[in-house]
Amino acid sequence: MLVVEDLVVAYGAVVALHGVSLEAKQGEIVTLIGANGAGKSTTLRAVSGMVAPRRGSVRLDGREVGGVPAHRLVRRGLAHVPEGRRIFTGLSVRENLELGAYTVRGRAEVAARLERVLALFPRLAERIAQSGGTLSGGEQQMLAIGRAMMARPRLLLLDEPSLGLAPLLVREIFREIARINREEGTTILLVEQNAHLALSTAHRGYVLETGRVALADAAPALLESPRVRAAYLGAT
Amino acid sequence: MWTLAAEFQFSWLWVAEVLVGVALYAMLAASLNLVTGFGGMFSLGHHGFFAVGAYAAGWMASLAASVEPGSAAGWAVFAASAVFAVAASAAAGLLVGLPCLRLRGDYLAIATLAFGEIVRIVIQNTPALGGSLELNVPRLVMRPRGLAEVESFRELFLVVGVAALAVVLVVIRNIVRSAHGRAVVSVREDEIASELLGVPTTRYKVRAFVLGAAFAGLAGWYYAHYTGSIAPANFDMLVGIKILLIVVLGGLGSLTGTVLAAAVLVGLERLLQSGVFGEDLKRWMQVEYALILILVMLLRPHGLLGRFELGDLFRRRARGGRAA
Ligand SMILES: Nc1ncnc2c1ncn2[C@@H]1O[C@H](COP(=O)(O)OP(=O)(O)OP(=O)(O)O)[C@@H](O)[C@H]1O
Ligand SMILES: [Mg+2]
Repeated sequence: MLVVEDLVVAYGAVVALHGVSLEAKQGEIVTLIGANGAGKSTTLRAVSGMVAPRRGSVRLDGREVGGVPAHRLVRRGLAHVPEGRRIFTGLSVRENLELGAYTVRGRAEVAARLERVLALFPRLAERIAQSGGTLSGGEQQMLAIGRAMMARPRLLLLDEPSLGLAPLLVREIFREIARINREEGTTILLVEQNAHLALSTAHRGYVLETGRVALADAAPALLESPRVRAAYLGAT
Repeated sequence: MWTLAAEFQFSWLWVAEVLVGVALYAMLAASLNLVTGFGGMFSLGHHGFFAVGAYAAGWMASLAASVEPGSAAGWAVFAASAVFAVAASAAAGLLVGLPCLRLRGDYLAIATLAFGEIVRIVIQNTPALGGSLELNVPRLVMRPRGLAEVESFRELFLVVGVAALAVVLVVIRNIVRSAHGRAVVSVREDEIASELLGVPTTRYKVRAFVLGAAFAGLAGWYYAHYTGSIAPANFDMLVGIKILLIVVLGGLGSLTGTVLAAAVLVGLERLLQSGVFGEDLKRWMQVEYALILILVMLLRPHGLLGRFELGDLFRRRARGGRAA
């Protein structure tokens, strides 16, 4: 579904990615772990069209999409929940969700999607008329994911959904992520700092170190890997 | 206590003049509100588009100096100059907008500010536009069957101004309320999030910017024909600040607020100017803008109406009453 090859991305003179290659197959949850500044968010931004790659290729369903503006990729089945959630704090939960269906044609279809997303996140249904800014951090994360799911994406990019949330909430969010993958069949590329949780949820994983892929394997294997355990799981 | 100056009369002529000013500034501020209030783009050069429209219309009219005022040909040139003014300022908007709208907000403000100054300097150095002196705009229209009196001309322009303002307001309202209106709002709220949801943010911003410029051009057309002579000094930064002040005063994203604020500001200005409160207060004119801006910031940081329209306020009250 997604194939990234030899991706190089730079912000001006700062080269953030030095040739990253990775892949996500239909129906998989793939996680990307790594330290601060490793280039995880940059990888997602290059895939979703927020930054143009300097070199390399990004292919979605076999078609090259590197350099295609982000808004066009939404219609091709891609959704990106960015770092920091970026919900519309001044708009209601319902308006946030309806904007998520910007590319969806037809009122009936939008209503059906809304119903489905509210079934995935019942907490949002309780707060449907509330403004986004008044939600708790966990609810805002649910809203950000729910909003992305309104377009019924086939590939969902999630950037640190656990950021700033209490452990209990983080587990709830990750359960939802697994459920979306299972029930909606959505392929998920998950960027996480919480390596243990990410690897427990994902099928496969990549470890990014200073803009390069250092390790790639099945998630259970990475969980057992001494290198991962030492660097990312706090074990010795 | 101030006593009303004895010589001042609230004549209909004076009131009509004030209302023409209100219509003009309401048009300018509504067009800027589309850009800044709804589109979230900070533009400091709106007076530049106003100037482009005024000079486009004025120049076209000056070519038709021999046309009989009020004749069919006069009306035709009058109408054609509106189209020309709108097209010219829209083109200028596209020229400024396309490269600049990718810039961050503060760069856009500086770029538009520079644009306003460039327009003025170009006019000053173009003899065909009168240079730094005045460009005479011959009178093209009169009330049908009417006399060419000041009063009848002013009344005619009051009607023209209200009609033009109505067009501007209706078009902007329809855009904001349209199916894509929410998308416009979302771009203002968070451009990156909007882009990631599939909203073509740059296209929306360019559209809003160009349309705002076009409407400022329409205001320029109106102004040029009304005053009958225009000069670069009529389009300096103070005009831009005044437009911005009206937008802020009325509330970013509130059209009725804009009209209300234009009425308050222009009305107050003309009252002070008239000397009706005596010569002492005439001098207050100079601090009026600063004073109003400070008061707004302190009392109503979101403007008179915030993001709401006048109608919303009544509706909210009614809803609150029912709930109670
Ligand atoms: N907008 C930007 N301008 C310049 N440099 C940037 C920008 N965004 C990221 N970088 C740099 O690119 C590198 C990779 O950043 P990126 O945000 O992709 O890291 P990350 O793995 O997501 O980190 P974190 O876990 O902190 O979110 C870093 O060195 C960062 O400083
Ligand atoms: Mg990051």
